[in-house]
Amino acid sequence: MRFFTLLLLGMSALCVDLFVREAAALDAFSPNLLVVLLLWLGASRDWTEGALAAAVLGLLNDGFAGSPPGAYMLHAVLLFYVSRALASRVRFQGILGRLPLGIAGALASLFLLALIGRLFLGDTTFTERVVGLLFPRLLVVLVAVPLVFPLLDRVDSLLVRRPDTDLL
Amino acid sequence: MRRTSSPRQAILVGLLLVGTAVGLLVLDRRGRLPPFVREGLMRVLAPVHDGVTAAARGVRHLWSDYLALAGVREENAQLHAEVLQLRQQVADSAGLEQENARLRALLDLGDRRKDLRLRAARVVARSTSPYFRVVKVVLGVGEGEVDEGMPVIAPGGVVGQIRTVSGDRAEVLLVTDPRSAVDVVLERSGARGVAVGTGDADRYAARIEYLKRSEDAVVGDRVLTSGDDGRYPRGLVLGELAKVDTPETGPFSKAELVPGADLGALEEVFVVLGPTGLTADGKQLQRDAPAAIAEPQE
Repeated sequence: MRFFTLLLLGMSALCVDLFVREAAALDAFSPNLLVVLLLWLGASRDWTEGALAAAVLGLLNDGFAGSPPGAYMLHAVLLFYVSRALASRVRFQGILGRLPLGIAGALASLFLLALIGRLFLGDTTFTERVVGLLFPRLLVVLVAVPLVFPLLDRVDSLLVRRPDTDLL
Repeated sequence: MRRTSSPRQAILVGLLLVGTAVGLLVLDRRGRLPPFVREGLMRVLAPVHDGVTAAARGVRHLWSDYLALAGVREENAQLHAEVLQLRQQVADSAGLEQENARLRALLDLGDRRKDLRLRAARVVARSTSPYFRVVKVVLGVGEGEVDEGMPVIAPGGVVGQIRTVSGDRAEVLLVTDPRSAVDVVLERSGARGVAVGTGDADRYAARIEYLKRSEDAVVGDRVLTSGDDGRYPRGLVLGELAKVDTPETGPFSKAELVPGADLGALEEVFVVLGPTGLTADGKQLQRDAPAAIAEPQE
């Protein structure tokens, strides 16, 4: 899949987040589908390409969220590396096989957010607030991974560049 | 064929990206982040952010105004059509009335605070993250340049401060964001403190820090800006104390305030550009006289 397509998918995830949050007037929660996309990137993309895409998407997320620039960027890059490292050691196949990756990724995502909040934002209550969203976030990942991963795989297989074949 | 990067390349790229992100965070924390970073992000994302927000709000209104009534229509189509029409009229007039009231309150605020140069702005979007309390506004046509750090107020009270400006758009850091700190004074007792946003995802609130335990503070006390932080003008209503807890030990009480402005339903706000040189009721400020004490908002 081309890099630009990855960015488009990421933007779409961010737009869905924003749409759901506004349409349902959610104040305390957003689905955060970008996490699901980052986990998929980790499970399916090359280190460099995935890390670059994660960084750009994280920075865009900073723009949407009004967070200090770099906060979600750092979160996205680290989450990609965690997910990539997990996927390179364990083979996650099928819907049920990918759920552990989703759960581990969601937990890692919250842990990283809490860590970034503590280290860089000087916000003493950040961890508490992140932990407060543990179950809703896990639920979103559990529902989204079986639905979104196959869809992304399908899009990926359609867009991936194959070596030229000699028709003769 | 998919290209795979070498472990060395992967590590190098990772370090570069993590270093960039950490660099941005550190610069932002120290207030040295070049403005073009945030402005650029805002400029690039503004059309998407505004468009998706407008579409989502449209869907929400459609749902509440129309789809919720679909079941009733099945019972009696003709009657329902009539009811719908009437309801639409009522809703329209109620909406207009609400808008009217909001705008009137905004005008009243402008009239009440003749000591402040104000520029109107319309709230167009909110932060997508539940961890940060930020809204985006489009500045109204008017004189006066809007800058970072300028206070933002609404008829109910203080809203926050400008964080980034890009053209006619600006990002406002709400007083309930943990990055916000406002020097405050209790109207009744004169007790001092600093209001810091709690950042809670499920409500809008701020806690008062450095409120001495010996000071008189009770639930319901109005909290005003002291003006001593050099950012917010003196005498603006921030909110009301919702909780006061004086521990057995320690020098400070723990208190929490609920903002006077309805931060969850902001539509129009004012950016405070600076003083006008008048008193709150429009009289000329005398040079030799002591600085005028602004009347608190109602």
